[in-house]
Amino acid sequence: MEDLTPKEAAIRVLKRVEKPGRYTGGEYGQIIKDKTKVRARFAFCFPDTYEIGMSNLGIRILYGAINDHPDLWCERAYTPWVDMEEQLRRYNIPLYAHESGDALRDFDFVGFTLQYELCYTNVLNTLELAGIPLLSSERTDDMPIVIGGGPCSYNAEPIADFFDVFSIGEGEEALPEIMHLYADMKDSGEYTREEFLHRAAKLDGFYVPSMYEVSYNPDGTIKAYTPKHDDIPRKITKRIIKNMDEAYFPDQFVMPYIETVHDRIMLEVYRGCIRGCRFCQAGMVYRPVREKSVEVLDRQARALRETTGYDEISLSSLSISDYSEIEGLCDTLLRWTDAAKVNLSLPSMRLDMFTRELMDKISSVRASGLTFAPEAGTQRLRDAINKNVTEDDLLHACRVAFEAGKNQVKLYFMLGLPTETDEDIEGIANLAKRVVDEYYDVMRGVKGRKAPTVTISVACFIPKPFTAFQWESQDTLAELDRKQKLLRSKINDPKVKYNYHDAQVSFIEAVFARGDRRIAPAVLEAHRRGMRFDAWEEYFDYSKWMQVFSDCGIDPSYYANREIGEGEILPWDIIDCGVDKAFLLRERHNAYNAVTNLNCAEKCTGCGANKLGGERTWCSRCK
Amino acid sequence: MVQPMQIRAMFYKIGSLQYISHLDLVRTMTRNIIRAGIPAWYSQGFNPRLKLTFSLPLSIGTESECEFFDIRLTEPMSLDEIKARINVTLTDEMQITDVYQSERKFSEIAFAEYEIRMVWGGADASVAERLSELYNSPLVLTKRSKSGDKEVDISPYIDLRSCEYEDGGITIRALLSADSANYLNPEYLIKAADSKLGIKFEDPFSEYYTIARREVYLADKITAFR
Repeated sequence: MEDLTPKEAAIRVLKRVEKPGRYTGGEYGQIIKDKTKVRARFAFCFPDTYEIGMSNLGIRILYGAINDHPDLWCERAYTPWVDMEEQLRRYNIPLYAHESGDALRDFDFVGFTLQYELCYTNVLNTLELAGIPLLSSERTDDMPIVIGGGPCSYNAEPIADFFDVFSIGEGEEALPEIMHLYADMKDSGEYTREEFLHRAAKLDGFYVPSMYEVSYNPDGTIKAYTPKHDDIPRKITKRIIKNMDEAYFPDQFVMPYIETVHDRIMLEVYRGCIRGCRFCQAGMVYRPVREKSVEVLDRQARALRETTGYDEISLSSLSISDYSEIEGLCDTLLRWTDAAKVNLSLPSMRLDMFTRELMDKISSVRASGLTFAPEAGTQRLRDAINKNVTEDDLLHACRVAFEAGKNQVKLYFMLGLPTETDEDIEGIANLAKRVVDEYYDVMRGVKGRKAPTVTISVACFIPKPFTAFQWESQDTLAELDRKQKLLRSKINDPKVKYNYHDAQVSFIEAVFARGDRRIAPAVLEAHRRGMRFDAWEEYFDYSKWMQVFSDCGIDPSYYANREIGEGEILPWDIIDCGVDKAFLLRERHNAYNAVTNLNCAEKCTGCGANKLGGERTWCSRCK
Repeated sequence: MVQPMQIRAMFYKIGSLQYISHLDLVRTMTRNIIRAGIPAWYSQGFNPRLKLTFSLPLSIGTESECEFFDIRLTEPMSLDEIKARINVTLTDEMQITDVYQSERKFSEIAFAEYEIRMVWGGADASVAERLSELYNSPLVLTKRSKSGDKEVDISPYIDLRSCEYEDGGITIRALLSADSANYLNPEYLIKAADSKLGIKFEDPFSEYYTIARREVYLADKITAFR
């Protein structure tokens, strides 16, 4: 074989795979540097397909933030789809980074963003395709540092054995910092993997799992996390960017040639969420809320329009209508976007903020359908989860939509929420029916009206770390099945369509969401048995997972279906996300009494995240 | 309003960009034209779209030196400036070589000239001769079309110019029919080599082929389309 780089070799097999554009790189906006002139190289891996990875705003931000440093170079890599994997394995082509085409194993850092638990087998498969030992303990000084980050890093214990270090919290400043530490140690000749990881553990916001010993009580609960050195923190506090106006934000994107999931400008408006939904992890771990100003957002949007040519701007945040100047932002953007034929979309509208004025401004509602998330079927349960929307809010939002000519509404709900009764489940069916009635009420006497469609999409509750419900048990599969059937039996209007999530998937997610280090062998064994792309329906195999757990001597229900004692040490207690455990506990008890709490804009409820600081925040205590 | 001026751009698409489909190319180029700040004309109506028309599509895995698209301008801009502006929005694997005005319609394209390179261990001068004979004789293959698979003699669509052994492989130059009714995908020449002469391309490192579109012609086979 000629002397080809891994990417050149891979290009030879591209005629044999679907969507070869996933593997070529060479996009406009990619950043190429002279590898002999940079001090450290980072391969940013998304453990799923190119189309999904390229849609991730976090990677786009961090890619730019690292490359903003002239002495650092960040490249991209994705998990190859199974057809490409087969070719890479067959011809012994190591996985490579898209920009340079160099093998990942030759990088200084290989980083994974962990967006969902079901990507864990893909992480291992990606490491294997890269020729990097899967276990941190098996890597030698000449091998890359494998680093993780993203939502799942708030409880990364199930995959802690495979990572050298986790970046906890926001990475724009943290990643260049750890890369510089590495480069300095390499330059001074002090670098050994062990010494580097020890020093990294002392940096703010870095968790080096191998530096902490976990011990267990006879009943299987955690006894203690013990640092192996006296000079590393006992708890790792997440990093945040205090001033979002001054934070790095890319003024250009890598432009995919092939169609990706979110092929548009994503403009991050603010971080965090003022709401305190008790099931929601994102609402807690990204606190405190920090907003960008309208001027900065307008400037960033204009710059991206110029450099990308995209015709859609999506205002992304956890709950866009909660932005303090949402009307002003829309008006400022609309001053130029309409003339430039650029559409604005607001994908995360709360239904109680949904007004005709806002609707008329935005194009996401030009489509025939709208989506709202009441989450629960009765006011009691909506109060228990602190959703703070009423049936009247929902019917009003639907009325606004119907009056504007829409006839399709999609409603998101959850089954298996703590304190749920059968009455709450019937409430979902009743609510859907009332939305149908509302349509006919609005359209009374209108000639040629279409029939409405109300789709209810029902997910299964998953107890997540750092939520008020982190101690709760997940309903067993039998119970979820009973509830799904009960709901189906209550829906007798053909205009109501019912979709529900696969409870088996939610069960596996719950196991990994609340898992500890003792389930790592199952991830490894699943990988050995060829399991991957678990987030894809066609590759998820519940019976294989159950066999893996059984063969590894692991009881998955211990992690998913057990109510955790309030006094127990949790696997994620090693991380401090800003929000206090005492606050979460208060909120749990509020849920039991169906007592709602106020949001950050109304009154401080004392979550504790203010200690992290922050500018342009709703948080009265940050100021 | 003044009639928008129609202009044509000629470009190449090589290297890794040969793996970008025609549909993806259309979307990419639309964005590039916007990014370049070209005063391009949009179709009217409820959902205005930038009006962009391409010449004959290129299959995935084929390079080309002679691709074309047309746009209409709503305001004057010099042709050189249009070329320069769009080129900075592209990478070096796709660049515009010329921007000009043309009266010719894409439907006037009748032939495309391809260079096909086949490399495998069994290549030699005698195989080149047999291939040459193959492409010059009646050649019945199963051809895919919208109305289903059909047995078709493809030889009338092939005008073989040369087929020679050089540097461990065989280089073929041929004009293939390219008008919309009789378009012949150059991959059929590879298929014919396989099904009639048993030439296989199974190991991508020692047995492979490349295809490049070199020129497009009018029906006279002499005048290059521009």
